[in-house]
Amino acid sequence: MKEIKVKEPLNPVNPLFIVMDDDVAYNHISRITIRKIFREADVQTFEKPAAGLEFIRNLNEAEYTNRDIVLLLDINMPLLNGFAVLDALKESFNPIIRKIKIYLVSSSIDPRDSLRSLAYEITSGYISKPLTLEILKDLFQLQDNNAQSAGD
Amino acid sequence: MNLDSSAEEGRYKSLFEQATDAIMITDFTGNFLDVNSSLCKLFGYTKEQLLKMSVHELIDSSDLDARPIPFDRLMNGEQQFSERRMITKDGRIIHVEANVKKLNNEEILAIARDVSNLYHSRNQLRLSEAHLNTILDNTNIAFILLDKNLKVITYNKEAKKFGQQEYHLEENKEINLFEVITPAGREYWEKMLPQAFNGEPFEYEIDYVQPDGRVHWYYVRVCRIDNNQGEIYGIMIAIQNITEQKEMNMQQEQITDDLSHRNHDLEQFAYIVSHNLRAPVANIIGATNLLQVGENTEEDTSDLLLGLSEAAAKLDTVIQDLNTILQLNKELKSEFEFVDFRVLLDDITESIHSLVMENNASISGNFEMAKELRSIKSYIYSIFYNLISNSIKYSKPDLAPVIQIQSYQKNGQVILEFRDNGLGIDLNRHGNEVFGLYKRFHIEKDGKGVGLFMVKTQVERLGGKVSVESIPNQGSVFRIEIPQGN
Repeated sequence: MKEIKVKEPLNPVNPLFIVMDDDVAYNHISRITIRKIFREADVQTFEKPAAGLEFIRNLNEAEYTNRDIVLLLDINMPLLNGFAVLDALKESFNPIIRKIKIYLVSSSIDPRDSLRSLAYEITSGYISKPLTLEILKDLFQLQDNNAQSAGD
Repeated sequence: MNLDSSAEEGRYKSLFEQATDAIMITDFTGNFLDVNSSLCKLFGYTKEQLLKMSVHELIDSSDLDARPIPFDRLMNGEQQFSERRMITKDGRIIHVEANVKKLNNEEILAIARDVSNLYHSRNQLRLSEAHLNTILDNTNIAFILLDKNLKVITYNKEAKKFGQQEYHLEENKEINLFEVITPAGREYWEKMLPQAFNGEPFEYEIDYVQPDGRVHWYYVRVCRIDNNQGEIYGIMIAIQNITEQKEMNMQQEQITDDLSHRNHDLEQFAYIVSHNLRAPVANIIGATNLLQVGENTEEDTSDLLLGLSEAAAKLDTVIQDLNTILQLNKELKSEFEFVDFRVLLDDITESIHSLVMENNASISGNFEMAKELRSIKSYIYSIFYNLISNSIKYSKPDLAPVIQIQSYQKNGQVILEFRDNGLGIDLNRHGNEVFGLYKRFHIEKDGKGVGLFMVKTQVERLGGKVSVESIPNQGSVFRIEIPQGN
């Protein structure tokens, strides 16, 4: 299940994926799933949201002029949940953050969560776990089943 | 001279004959000597008939028996003024007011008037009054009648009780309303009285706190009273004791509040559990999908398989936790018994001996003020166990955990305080989640986030409350209130 706000497809050339989730198994699955479509995609996973935030803040805008950045952010992390991360990102001054396509991810079926996520303007949508190949393809509007190689 | 006396006699004869009152002259045994036409009309006899009769025949026998005609007193010159039950020719009872005095030693003069109507009216009135008094004195509503200047005219039994109870008023004292009520009450009345005088009653509720702390509630209605001519006579206050209804209402509100809370808790519980079940399930779906699609590296495959087995184990744990928690919601079949805190604490300390040794923990209890509690032993054991092991687990890395437990009594309840010097919890951030299921605040340490949830559930199951005070890095105090079990 997903709710996507932004309709324009993502650029399949050399995207950066940032996955923030305290569930290690989920991070593996996300990485492997992403790599099935983008064989050499840059996938950064963070179990600790603080480290993920740090990484994002240090991104160099110059390196990503023609690349899309996707952040898959888990809502239910102990200590610092997804919404708190969003708040922190909103306050950051790095202009690259505006470029990041942020998707909130959750295994919860609480409808309040999906509603709440849609209320944050900087998010592009809400995805219910698990992250499947279909969802990824949909995000990038890939028509065929062939995996894209980065840099083609 | 003869002319004058005959003229006078003529006058008297006219008076006698034409008088509308019934006039009779009898001898000293009661025989009629003379009667006027009004008397004849009143009793329905002709003059001829009456002159053959005695006045005794016209008086109702029971009346006569009770009060025989006092001829001797009349002979002494006394004037008699009395009301008698008399009987007409056709057997009707009439009430007659008579003025009787002797004329001379042979003749008695009696002037009588039919007061039957008056008698009946008076009777009706007395009956009405009796009915009204019965109603007023047997109602549980206090009625007070005030005049236009708010001075008390009259009141019923219930009002007397009310006045004594809530205002300590003595009976038979002249009271003005404004002398008795509070300034705030006076302000309200001054505002509302014009409305009442205008014919529109007003009403309000008022409470009085009793010396023992209980509260009495009354519903007061104030309306204008008019007299028969439609003029304003005064004010009527009706006061009804609604304490019982109020108390029931408040109880009802409390129950609704409690139910609402429990409902909320239940909803939270449902969402949390479903989330904790879905998370591993999502991983199982994700992992199996990828394994089925195939073409995974060996490393990836082994990662996926590991993820699969961990997810399955997690699922199993959550379901077991669910089972444990649901057991708590069943009927409390266990027996209530006396639980001695000192003995309990010693038991627990011994059973977690190795945990205590590893962490160099010190656990002490002061149960002087409340040695024991009548409750369900397994629950109290579990509560102690969870709080103590939590405090040891979440101790500061460089500081040996010190746990102090204190018990005391308050308002029929036993209070237990568990104080530690551990990591504490940031209540500003996590305040309302502390006792939530699967909520964890220190992920560096192992833990499921079930312990405090269990404590809260068990305490509430026993009819008690649990709360916590904590300062991050300084420690926490968990406070448990449990009523004595019956």
